[in-house]
Amino acid sequence: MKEAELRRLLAANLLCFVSIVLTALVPALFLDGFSVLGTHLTWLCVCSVCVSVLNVTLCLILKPSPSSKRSSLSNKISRFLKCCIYFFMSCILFHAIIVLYGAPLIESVTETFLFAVLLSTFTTLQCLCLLGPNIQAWIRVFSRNGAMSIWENSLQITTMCSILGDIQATQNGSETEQMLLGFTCKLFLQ
Amino acid sequence: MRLRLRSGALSAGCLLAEALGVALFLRGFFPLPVRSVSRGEARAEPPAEPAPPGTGIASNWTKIPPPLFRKVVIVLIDALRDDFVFGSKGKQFMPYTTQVVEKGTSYSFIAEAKPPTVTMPRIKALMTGSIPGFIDVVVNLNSPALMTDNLIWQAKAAGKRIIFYGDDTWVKLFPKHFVEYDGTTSFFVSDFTEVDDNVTRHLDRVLKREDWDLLILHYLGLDHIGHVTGPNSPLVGPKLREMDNILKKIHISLLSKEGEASLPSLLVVCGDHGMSETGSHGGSSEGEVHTPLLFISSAFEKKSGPLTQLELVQQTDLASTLAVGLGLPISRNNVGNIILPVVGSRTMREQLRFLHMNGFQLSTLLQENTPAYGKDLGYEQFKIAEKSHGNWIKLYLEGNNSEILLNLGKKVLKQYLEALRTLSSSLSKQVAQYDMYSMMVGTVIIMEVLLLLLLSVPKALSSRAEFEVPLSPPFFSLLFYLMCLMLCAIHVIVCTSAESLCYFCSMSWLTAVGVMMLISALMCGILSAVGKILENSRLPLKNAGASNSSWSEVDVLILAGTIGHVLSLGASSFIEEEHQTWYFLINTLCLALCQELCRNHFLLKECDLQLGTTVKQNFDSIGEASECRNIDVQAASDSKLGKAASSAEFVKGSDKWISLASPWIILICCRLLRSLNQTGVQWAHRPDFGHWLTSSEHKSELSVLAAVSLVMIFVLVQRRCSLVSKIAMALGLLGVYSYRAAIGNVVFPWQRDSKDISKGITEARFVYVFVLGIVFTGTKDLLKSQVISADSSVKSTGLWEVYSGLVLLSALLFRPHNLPVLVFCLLIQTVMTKYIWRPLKFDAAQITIMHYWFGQAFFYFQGNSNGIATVDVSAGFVGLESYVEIPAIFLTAFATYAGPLLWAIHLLCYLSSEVSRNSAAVGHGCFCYALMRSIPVAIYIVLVTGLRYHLFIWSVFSPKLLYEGVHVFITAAICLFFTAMDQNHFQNVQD
Ligand SMILES: [Zn+2]
Ligand SMILES: [Zn+2]
Repeated sequence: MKEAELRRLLAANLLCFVSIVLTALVPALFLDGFSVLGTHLTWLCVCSVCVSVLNVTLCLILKPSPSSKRSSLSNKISRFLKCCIYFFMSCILFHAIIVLYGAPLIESVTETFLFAVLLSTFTTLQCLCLLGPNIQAWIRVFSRNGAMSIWENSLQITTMCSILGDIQATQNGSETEQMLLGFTCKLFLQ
Repeated sequence: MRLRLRSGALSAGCLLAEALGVALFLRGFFPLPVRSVSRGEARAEPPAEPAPPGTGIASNWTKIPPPLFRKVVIVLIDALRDDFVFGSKGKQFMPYTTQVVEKGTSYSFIAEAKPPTVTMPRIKALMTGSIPGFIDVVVNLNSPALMTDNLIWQAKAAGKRIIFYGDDTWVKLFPKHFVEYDGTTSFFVSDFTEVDDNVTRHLDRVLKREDWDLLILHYLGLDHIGHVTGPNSPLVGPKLREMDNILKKIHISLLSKEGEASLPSLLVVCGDHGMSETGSHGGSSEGEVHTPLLFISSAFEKKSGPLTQLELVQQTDLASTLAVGLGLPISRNNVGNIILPVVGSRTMREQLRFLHMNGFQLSTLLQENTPAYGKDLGYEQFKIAEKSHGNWIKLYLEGNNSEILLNLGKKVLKQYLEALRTLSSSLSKQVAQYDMYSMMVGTVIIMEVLLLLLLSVPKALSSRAEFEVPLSPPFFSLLFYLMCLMLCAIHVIVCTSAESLCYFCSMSWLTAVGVMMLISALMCGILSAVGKILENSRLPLKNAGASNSSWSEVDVLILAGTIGHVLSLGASSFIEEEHQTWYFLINTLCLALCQELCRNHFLLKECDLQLGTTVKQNFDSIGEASECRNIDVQAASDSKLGKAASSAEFVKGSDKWISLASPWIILICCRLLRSLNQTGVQWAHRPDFGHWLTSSEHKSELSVLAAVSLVMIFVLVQRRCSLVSKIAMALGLLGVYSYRAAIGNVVFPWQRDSKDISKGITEARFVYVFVLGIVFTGTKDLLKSQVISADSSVKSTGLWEVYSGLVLLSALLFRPHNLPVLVFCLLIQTVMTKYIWRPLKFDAAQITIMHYWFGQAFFYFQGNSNGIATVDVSAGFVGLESYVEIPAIFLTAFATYAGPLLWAIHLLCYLSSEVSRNSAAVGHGCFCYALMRSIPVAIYIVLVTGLRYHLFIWSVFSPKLLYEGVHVFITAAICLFFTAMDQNHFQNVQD
């Protein structure tokens, strides 16, 4: 049981990794003059969309969290809506944090916000997939010795690392630089 | 026999030893430039022309060539950047100069200034042709008279009459050299016009007169405009136009007199350094090092074409060129080359003679400074060129064909230029001569202190916070004497063998032996600590595992942050942008604290509810269950929080929400502070709030801000003061405002049009009286608590009063736009104490490190950086008539390090109020503080020793080294204060 889960976890993380690499390479075939550094805004969008789609599918297929399947449709819908709201709120929160960490307040708002969205896809979305919209569970997972399963452990590590990596990058200057630094960190740790 | 040592005393002792080590290291790292013999020695005879080989004929030309120019006017415009003359600004605002540069009889160059780009070293470089050592910057404040050979001294010795108007640095550097002078002080940076009018008012009169040979004008206005408003401000244009008119006036006047005299005159226009994009200088950015250098004289050929690519020369080249132009010997320490085009109109023989003199002087300097000069490439090249010069003279004296002679001469000229360039560059490299022995001794002391501190961590942070130092076990005493003996032997060998001038060798024997005994004693201490640890490790390990698992996130963050910061010191760009590291660390710390608070407030209660057990004694909140219900209510409708709850619960609830919000409040404060002063190098040019406030059109906003800040300071500080100091504080803060109004930084609402700007001496002294009064009251309380052993409240009031006195002093010294820094400092301290540190019950070590981090961050929030340029020298003059060394240094150091200092004193206040909970808190805090300071210093010193030939050593690493060194001295003082306080308490407990 444990080993099987470990393998699934590894596969999921590998898929994530591959998808990030692909988002950096594939669009160059379709879009003129695409590069991670040159048109980072496009890449930001593509990357966050890809990763979120992948996360959601993985979540649906693998079902890492033993959620109650008996819930009705309306229950599911409300759950979904709650997830959406949480996701949006986390985007806003990350935006605020990035600004607090030194990103300019007014200029390049789009960049900052897209970056916040990307951060949310890496962190909040994973949390939502695994834990559902349950703040108490989140706090539990992100406190010391709180992780209950290997999935949650992995979640802890990736989330912390992406936040740290990306925020350190945010501090030091230009947006493109941020991406690079953040992602080397992210890739390295996945 | 055993000595009991408290951890506070241990850390204070260690820091004192470390301060000694740092001082030794600094002395070795910044050696006073050891140069050619002083000018007092007999003047060397100028070299004769090289003798033609073979025949016995010697050249008959042994005297110094006659001057090329009758009069020389040097116009030095402070902070004149190259694009102010040659760029679009020059075209727009300096039409006359541009026309002369493009079509007139002139030569223009871009002169490169070596960092540090500060006025005094640059004047020295211009006038001696040498590159002054870094230590010159440190003594920039009270520039002592220049003792080395220089152009001005040579000119005076040759009977030239020199007139000087401008920055009084010159007058201090060259006392009694000028037949007439008028020095203007650069003290009031906000003065843009008067400094220059002071120079210009003499101009008309002097230009009419004939009784001078060298006229030097140093204009300061542009530099002041740069400092206050930056290079792109609208004030720069009119100033450049003013300068252009002055140049036009001088040039026309010189031309008008030319007809009657035999020799032409020369007008030199130069800048001592440029300015960066923020308008400051001191570093090595492109804008700071590139200055224009213009030679205008009717002796030159008229330019025809438009301006082509400008040649880059060194700033030091001016000294030798002017020496030749005035017919003077080239000064001994000169490392520059003659700028050939300037003397290009002379005959080939004269040109060769000039280059030979320059080369001869450079090779003499090389001989004096390097034993192995014979192998130097430049020296060899010079010898070859000298030989072919001799051959040329032989041909010349034989009266050969002029065509061949000219071609051959050109070849020799090329050889000379090549040789000169090589000689210059190898001499310039030699400026950095390190005194390795002193550096090593210093490093050994510092490393030993660090090791000792690290080894004593477990003991020092134990609840007793005490050490037992074995004073005389036979083994250690034997070791001690052996080590002393060995070190002395090494000392003798090093000092007698090397001919190097080493500071540690030049110290008296007694001092040296003392230092060696210190080293050996530290070594023995380390060995005994290691021995004890080994002894302990043989005992069964009981609670090692338990202590490992108790690391919280904050602990991990603190450890990782400390290590990360230390590692970042190895890269020059990280040092330049060190503020980013600290901002990042405190922001992350705030987030970690936020998470800790969340867990404390939500999760623990949740657990309690679920488990149904009462672990309440661990958590300070009472009435867990009812509060949890309260939370649910609030969570459901957090906008209308607590409507349903009873009033008592409401207070508690609101307290909790404030507590949860406090990290965010701190984060927002930090974000605001960050945009107040944009510091560092790379992003320093970004517009920031501080510049906006200091520009003259926002004076009223600045006044409002300053007034509000002062009121806020009073509100935040007064709550724990006694009544007397409250009144004194209020009056003192009023005095601060009137001081700022008196020197013209802010306005009084009721007197708008008063223009008289004074130095504000009375007002500043008024404030000093209150500072001293408050500090004195505090000290009196402290002494009382020590002697009479009164209750601890007297002591904490005393400490707080000392603290508030220091706050008042920094309010006086901070520039008015920096007063919000002080407010936010106090605000964050209050919020942290009330809502984070006390409820979460952090231990003394964690609190200390948080204080240290915030202190570091506030150092940069103040607008400081790791460059010399950001030191606010004007703080050293507050309330003083003129420059007085000791108070000025003290005040400047205090103003610069106010952030770390205030946080450290606040730490002491906090910890001594915590004594009831943890009796060793102060000792722990002191120890951690010492450790936090020792780690970066020790690592940095090793790094700097390794990187001493790095390209950025002078511009990036050395200033940082100075900052670190001064910080160690300050920390040592703080730790002594800590220990004194700790001792008191200890005695009290004993009683
Ligand atoms: Zn200057
Ligand atoms: Zn200046």
